[in-house]
Amino acid sequence: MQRYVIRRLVQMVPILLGISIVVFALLAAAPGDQVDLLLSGVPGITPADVIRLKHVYGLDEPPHIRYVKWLERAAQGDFGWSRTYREPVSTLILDRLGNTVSLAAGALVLALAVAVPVGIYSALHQYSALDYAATLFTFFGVSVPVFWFGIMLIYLFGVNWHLLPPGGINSPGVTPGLPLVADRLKYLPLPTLALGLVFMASFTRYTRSSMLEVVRQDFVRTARAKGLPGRVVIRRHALRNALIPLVTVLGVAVPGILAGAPLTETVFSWPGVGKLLVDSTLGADYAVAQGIIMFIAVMAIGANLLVDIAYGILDPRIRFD
Amino acid sequence: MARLPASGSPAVPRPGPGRARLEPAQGSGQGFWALAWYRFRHHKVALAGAAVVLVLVLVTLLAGPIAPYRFEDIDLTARLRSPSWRHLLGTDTIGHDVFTRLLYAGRVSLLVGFSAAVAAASAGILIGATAGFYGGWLDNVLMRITDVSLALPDLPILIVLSKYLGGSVAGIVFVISLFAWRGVARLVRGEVLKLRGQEFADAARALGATDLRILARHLVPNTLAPVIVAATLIVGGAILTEAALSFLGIGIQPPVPSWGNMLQNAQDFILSAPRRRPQGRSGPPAQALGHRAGSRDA
Amino acid sequence: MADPLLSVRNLKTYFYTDEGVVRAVDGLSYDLHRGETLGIVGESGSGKSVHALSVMRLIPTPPGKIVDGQILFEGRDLLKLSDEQMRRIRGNRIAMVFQEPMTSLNPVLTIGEQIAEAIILHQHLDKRAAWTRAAEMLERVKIPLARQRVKDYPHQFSGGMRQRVMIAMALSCNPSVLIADEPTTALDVTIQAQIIELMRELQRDFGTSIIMITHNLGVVAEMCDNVVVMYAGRPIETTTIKRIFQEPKHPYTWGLLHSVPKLYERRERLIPIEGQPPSLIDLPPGCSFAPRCPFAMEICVQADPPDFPVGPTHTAKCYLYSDKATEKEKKAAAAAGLAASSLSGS
Repeated sequence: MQRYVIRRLVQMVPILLGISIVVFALLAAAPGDQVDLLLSGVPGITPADVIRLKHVYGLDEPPHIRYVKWLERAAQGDFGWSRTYREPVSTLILDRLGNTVSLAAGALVLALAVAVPVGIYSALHQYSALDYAATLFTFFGVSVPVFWFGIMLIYLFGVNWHLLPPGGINSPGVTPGLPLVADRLKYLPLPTLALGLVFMASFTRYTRSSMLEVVRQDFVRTARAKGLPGRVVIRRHALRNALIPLVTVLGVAVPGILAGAPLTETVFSWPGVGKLLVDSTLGADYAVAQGIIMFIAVMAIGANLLVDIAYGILDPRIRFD
Repeated sequence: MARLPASGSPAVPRPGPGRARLEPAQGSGQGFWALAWYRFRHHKVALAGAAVVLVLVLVTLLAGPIAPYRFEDIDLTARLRSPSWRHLLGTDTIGHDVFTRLLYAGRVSLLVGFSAAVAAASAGILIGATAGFYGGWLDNVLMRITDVSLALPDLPILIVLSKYLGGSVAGIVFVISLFAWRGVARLVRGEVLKLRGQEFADAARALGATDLRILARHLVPNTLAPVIVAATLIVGGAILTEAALSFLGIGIQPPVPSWGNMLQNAQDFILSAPRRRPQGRSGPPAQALGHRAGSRDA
Repeated sequence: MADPLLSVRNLKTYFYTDEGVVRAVDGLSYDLHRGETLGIVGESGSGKSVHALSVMRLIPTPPGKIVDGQILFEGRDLLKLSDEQMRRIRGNRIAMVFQEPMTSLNPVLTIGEQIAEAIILHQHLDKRAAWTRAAEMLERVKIPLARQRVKDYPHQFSGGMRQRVMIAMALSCNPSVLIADEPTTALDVTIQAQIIELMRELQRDFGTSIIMITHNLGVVAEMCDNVVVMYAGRPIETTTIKRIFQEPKHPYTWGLLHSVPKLYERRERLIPIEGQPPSLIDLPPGCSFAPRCPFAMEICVQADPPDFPVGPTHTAKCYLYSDKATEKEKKAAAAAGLAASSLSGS
């Protein structure tokens, strides 16, 4: 187990290196570097100033040298300086990370909390009214784009009915502590639902088909033949086998959630990493964009590793060697 | 629909000749496509999906004759109008006719969707077939790249990429294709790997066929069925991705309409002037998007 | 003779599918006595496994349904019990071993948990005692290092070992009846012999009555006291083990005997039964074996044959033993029966 984790961690290194090269190359190929952007339109700047500044920032060096230097700094957590926010990139990201994580975690928990019971019920009562309703819902859920659904939620709950705030993360002027948390609870439901919908739908679908498959397995018949009550057969024998594969789907969902975050956060003006990515990209603040992508890549790959480990713990057939 | 009991009770006889309805005799020269077409015709959901897609394609292709205005026409005296006979779906913040823009935006979306699917499927076939056919380190490297990129969230990277490359339809198609080939490549690799070892490939080789010929004539055509399925999924995905990027203001730029940038316009409006009824503006493009995306399930 | 332990009367189990009604079991009757081993023989699709699930009341409903008949266990009709009452019999008084040892155990639970769970349920032992009993049962089925292996998962056992686990599980509550549905079919030949030997031994020790469902006449010869031969959901011949090999009466039974390969005996070739078993939907009137039967007469395709007594404790559903058959036909049949019995060589 320990060796497996270490091996996986070691394997992550070349992957992250590869990603960093790609990201760096892309941004190096971008038209205009930091200095150009910084100085564009500033009056009284001579070409000599530009050259001097570029030398100060090391931008006159060949790309591979710059890459190595960037990597050295990035490894120490220094992703550079944002020209629009005038803050270190790492600070910017870390400040917003909590917001994104709480949104993503909320969306996943909500998705699971709805999908697992509904999926199981659907499977056990195949072709019932609720099963058809669930199928219809999953169809809707996987088809609807998150940004449209978000706008509809804002329109209905925020604008039309005035039930929940249409965007943002906290009311202005709330005192920190418990009031802030209570206030936050009003802002969470809509973006959580918007981001979670797709996963709710796909998890429901997955749970249903997984459960349908498992209840037809021979070992479920064996359990019934022992005289176990139906509830116990489902809970002890069917459920666990049906839910283990769901862990894999969770693994796929983590990058999906991270991909959905920029859209949801933009729609709801949620100050998270995703919105920061969109804003910095639109504002040509490349150092920030670069940092965020590296960050997201690490999170996605890390989640993948966690899922593999979880799978191994849950399924005794998987061995780590 | 009744289902037969659990596997492992072979005593329940599989009745008669065909399990389900009788399909046209297989192997009687009917061919693969005929069979596929037959199945398709008898699949209600698939038919409904196809009908929706067909209507959308027709309507958007005929946008010129159908649309009452040109998409860049602005009527500053009639901004934010509710639906009426003059403006079927109303007008937007600067007086564009929403119905007209919806049609033209559909054209852009479909163009992006199909182009991306073709580009991505071609790239996927090329990479997958090469990896599967030659195997070894090449396969290893290509598949590692595929695996890793599948574990990454694509949209954040697409956002940054489109900033440089996007803006135009071609740029968006290129960016989307950069990420969409992976599934196809995996699929084709798997199939080629399986087929490579079969007799007909050996037979072709024995007849002196070149690698390229074996691949192009014998192996790749046999992988096409699943590739087409994957490609239709790419169409839907690409349309959604384009809409997402345009919605964020990074994809197709106004005045060229796209379902995504129309939605963005609508959202700005909902929040800034909430008392006006906005269905006319955000409803239609979104519903169009939903339909389109839904049909990929079929 | 004493009252039978289990008596199946005119059991009918049908499946309602899109294609029509599948009459999987269509009028099965037999008696099982204490300590007896009854063989139920037939091809796949003859309804033997469906009958077993019917006795356990494990037929998936829908599409399946027990439409008629009685299953009298110790005088009580199982089909009239509530689900709750039936649950208390299942795994406790009547237990079952399935054909597929590879898939019949839950992959994510240890075998100890899986055996102990039935013991806790029916014997009301606490967890510790149940585990001790589980380990004892594993010893009884001769699993080496049983006390350590209770903590293992199914995938750590071979097919033969898993079937031993299944048997241990089935016998853990000391049931009166054990239904074994093709318990050796999925196993290697040498393992098959071991499992048969084990079951015989356990039957001696536990005094369990066994219903042995198989298509393998060799297994029947090894284990059974009495035999029911099933065809297309019906019992076409019922008799003792001795008579089925020495005086088989039904043409289908002859066919079965002809198609068994024999060691030490050079036969020119095996004689398969011509044709396919019938579809169980829209069965034509008459004997369902008639289309494949070399001795079929006019009456055979017109009316369903009843059971004809053909000897002490021996019945056959065949018009050859009625007054409908001519002397000539009876003679030809007798010759064929003799030929079939000589093959069995027992």
